[in-house]
Amino acid sequence: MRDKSLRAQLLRWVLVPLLVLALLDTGPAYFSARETAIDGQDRILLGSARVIAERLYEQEGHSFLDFPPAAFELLRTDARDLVYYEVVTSAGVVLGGHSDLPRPTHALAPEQSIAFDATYAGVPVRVVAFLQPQLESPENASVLVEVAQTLHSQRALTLHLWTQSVSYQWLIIALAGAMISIGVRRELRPLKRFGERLRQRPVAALEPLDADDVPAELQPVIQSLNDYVRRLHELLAAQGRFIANASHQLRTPLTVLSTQLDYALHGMDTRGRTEALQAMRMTLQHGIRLVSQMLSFSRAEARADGPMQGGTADLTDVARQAVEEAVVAALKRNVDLGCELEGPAPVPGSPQMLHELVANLIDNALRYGRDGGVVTVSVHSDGERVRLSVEDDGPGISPEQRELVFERFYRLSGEMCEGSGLGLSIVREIALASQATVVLADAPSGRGLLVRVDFPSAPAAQAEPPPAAPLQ
Amino acid sequence: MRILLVEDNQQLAEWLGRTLRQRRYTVDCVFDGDGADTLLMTQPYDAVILDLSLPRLGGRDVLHRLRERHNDVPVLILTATATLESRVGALNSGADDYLIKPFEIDELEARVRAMLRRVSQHKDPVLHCGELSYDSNSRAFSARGWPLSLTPREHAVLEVLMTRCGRTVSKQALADSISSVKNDIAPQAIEVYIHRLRKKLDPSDAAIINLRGLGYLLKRRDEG
Repeated sequence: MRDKSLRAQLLRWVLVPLLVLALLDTGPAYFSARETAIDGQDRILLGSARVIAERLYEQEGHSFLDFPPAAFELLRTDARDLVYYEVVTSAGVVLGGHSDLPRPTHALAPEQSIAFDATYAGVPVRVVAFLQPQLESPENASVLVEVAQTLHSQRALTLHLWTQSVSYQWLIIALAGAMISIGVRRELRPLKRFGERLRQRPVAALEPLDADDVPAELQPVIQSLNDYVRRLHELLAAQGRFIANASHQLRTPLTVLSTQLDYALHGMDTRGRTEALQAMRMTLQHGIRLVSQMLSFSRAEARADGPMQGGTADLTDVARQAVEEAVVAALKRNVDLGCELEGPAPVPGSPQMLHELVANLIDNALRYGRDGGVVTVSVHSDGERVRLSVEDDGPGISPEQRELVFERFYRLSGEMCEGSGLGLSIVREIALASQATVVLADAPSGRGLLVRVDFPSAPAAQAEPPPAAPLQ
Repeated sequence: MRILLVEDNQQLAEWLGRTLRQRRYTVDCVFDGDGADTLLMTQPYDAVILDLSLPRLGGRDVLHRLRERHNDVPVLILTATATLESRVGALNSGADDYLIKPFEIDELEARVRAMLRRVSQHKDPVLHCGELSYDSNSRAFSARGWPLSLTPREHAVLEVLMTRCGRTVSKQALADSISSVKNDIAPQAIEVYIHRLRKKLDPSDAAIINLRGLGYLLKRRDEG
């Protein structure tokens, strides 16, 4: 969590580059400081050289120097440094000072000066040489004035300038860090307040969260959150409706069960009691079926609500399996259950959900068809569309009721069997998820109901391997 | 006691009917509103148990029509929706009581009995006629403190006479109130039950008196 802190991230992104830059800059900064210090020393030394040169005078073609040692003391600008000088004519006559100061490596033009590093008396020194022309002397002879100084003050100045520049950089970095830290905390305060509001918000509150004071960059997040809350509420409402429906639907079988139990308990004869117990078992089975259908309905609904699962399934395979599973139920009602299947028929959807769809249609046909009737399941594919048909020869459904039967818990009036009223709702929800349409029609034989489910054909390449041999 | 049970779930209707018959009520079952309406127009009932969600004609409409015909038979509503709105609506449209599914049969019976008491103006669950007494809760007769052993039919006839103690009940009305649609009892058969009942009542001071042309009434022997 700590690593994800916005403040830490920002600090990292800003301070790390700054620190690297500052570190890289310490070298150049040192050289720059040293240059400045040398430059300063050179100016002072040149100044001193000029002052000494001013003290030159000519008499009868000869140059003389009037430079008392006391004046020389004035040239010492720093107590730690030793200063040397030398005045020598081009002819090599030393007019004053120390005679063995290092000379410039090349000749100077008049009025020209040069600064260079050298060693004098075993100590490194900075030397400035200045060539003073002597106008009255013959052959335009000139006098070279040299001033040298040891490097203590130069080094001290370098160090001073360098530490100053480096410490300014560090100060700026520290300031930037502090500002980022404070700024982020300040700017995140509305977000904290928003979080507090969110925490204190009643769970059932529906109105969108108000977040005008939250930074603009976070507004999309808030909007998504609001959208999410809205969708969550829709889901909760759907679940609530489902629970209300479910409890409503379970009341009747429970009442029947309670009545049968009462009958069995108060019954005098064994026959009546056995009868009641058998009826109770049937009621229970009905209740169990109702519950499992309700669950599969809510699953199908959730599936239809969510994004498509992308998979494909072979409807022929699914239909064959569903028919095989329904054989026992068909035998019980003496129904001739059969199917007409062709080759593989890939359709979008999951095999489990499609199985649920087919099983529900077969179950309906067996339940509401005729005892001893005929139920046929067929799957035909024309390359573009796959059509699943389940046909019975029972009483059928009148055209005006055909839309109503898709409603949850709708049951036909005068219905004799114990259906849940969910079967076709489940079928429709699953069909929706597979982009299929469900149509109820009269059976071609003119008697009974035909349920047609039209699927779009899925690309064959993605389908599961074709089934072995068709049943029947 | 003749009860009309109107319930669209046939399983529930069948087993409620059975259980109530087991408890010595005469029960007619009907599965839709139309049928209920027709029966209520032609048959006399002591009480109606009415489910609200019925095909063809809703329970609320059955009740509405019943009350429009000024039929005051007590009606108990069965409903699977426990909302306040549906309960208040049921009572407002003329029901005497309501019960929410799932319910216990004992409670259903108790509520039906309470409704019947309210109609008969007897708040005391035990009715008396001389030394003959009838506990409407256990639905048992006793004479001089001893329980009276009666067949279901005799019980039904005596029950009608007891609840209208002191008033004349015609032979036809007696026959109607113990017949069900499926099991019609001819008025002539009533004479047989009356004959047997008189024998069983003999030790007590209660007697069934025949007023020719009017019917029967239950009275204390020494009263006028």
